[in-house]
Amino acid sequence: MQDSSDAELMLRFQRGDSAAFEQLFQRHKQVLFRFLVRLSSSTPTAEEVSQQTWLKVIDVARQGRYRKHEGVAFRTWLCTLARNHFLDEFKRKFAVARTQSLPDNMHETLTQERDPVLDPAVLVDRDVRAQHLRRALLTLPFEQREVIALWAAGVEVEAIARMVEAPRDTILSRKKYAISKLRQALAELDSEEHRA
Amino acid sequence: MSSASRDRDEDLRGLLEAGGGSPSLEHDAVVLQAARAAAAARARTSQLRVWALAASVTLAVLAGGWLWRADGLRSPGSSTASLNAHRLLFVSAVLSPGLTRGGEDVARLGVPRGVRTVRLRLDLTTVSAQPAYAIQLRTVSGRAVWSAQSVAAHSEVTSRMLELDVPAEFLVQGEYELGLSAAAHTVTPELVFYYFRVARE
Repeated sequence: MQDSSDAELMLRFQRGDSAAFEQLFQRHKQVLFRFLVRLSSSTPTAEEVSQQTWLKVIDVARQGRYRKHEGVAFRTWLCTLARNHFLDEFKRKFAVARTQSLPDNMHETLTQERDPVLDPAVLVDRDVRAQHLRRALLTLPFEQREVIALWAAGVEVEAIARMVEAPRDTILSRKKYAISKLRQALAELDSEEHRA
Repeated sequence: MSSASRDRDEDLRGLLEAGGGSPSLEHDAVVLQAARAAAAARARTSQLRVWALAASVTLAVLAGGWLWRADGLRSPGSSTASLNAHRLLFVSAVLSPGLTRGGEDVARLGVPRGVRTVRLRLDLTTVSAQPAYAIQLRTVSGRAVWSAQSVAAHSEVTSRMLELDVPAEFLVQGEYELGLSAAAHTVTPELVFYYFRVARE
């Protein structure tokens, strides 16, 4: 099982096996990074938070505090650490209480530092659609974007509910509305291409 | 959710996962360097723990050896070991049940002068478990010299034991019988007997 072998790798790393960590890192670094790009809509922010998250993982192992928790996948734990770090950074920068809803216009601030790789001019076909989807993602309220980012990273709805401390039905509702808007954005893109 | 809807969701998830870039080489280098340093530190810690464990085991063995030598236990047929009565206020012995009264194989318990308490540890491995036990200590001729009610057993790693502290003043030179019965009943046959011979030193 993926989860148990992730946990095993982490436990081996905790015993001093750096090769185990490298395997774990290669397995999850891309997923974590993309999750953070979707969450923050900023590659530099995603990179900074990703690095801090991995350093936190290393710190937990260094102190011998990692435990294999039943029912909590390593990736879910990783995304939880990353999300918390992102929100802490956001709170520090914008002095927003963590328990409050993040402003929906957060993307306007964050997109000012958007990475050039998100420029649609350099993307074609599927990449164009993916790029369009990411742009549509930025228009979603933070709570919906967060759920979609976690869902796309493979985190289960129940785990998302625990992570964001909201009822499961609320998470399902956010996901439903977000997906509906994203589909609508894709349909608009298809319609434009058809007209062209 | 219908399978078509689920498929469309999966397509959407796939599109979201497409592209998105990768962390920089610098990001990876920082993380991996930190991981190697942490792993090296953990490996050193683990090695220290192994040494600490080995040291603890050695100390435990040494301490156990000292206690064993100080113990007043005499296995059947063994000679009386000397005991440093100036350093111990009690002696202890492990007794096994079922030895024959008056036989040559009766456990011999040396009680040096100055010892105040004799700790008897009764092996209950072959005795049916009871919430508590009643004890009667008597001379081999049947004269009761000491008793205890409602003594609970405790489990050790490999066996159940019952520990009794008998005032040494009741144990003069001679042979004794110790009967064990269930404490829950007022009148009950004794479950098991232990025999030992006291030698005052």
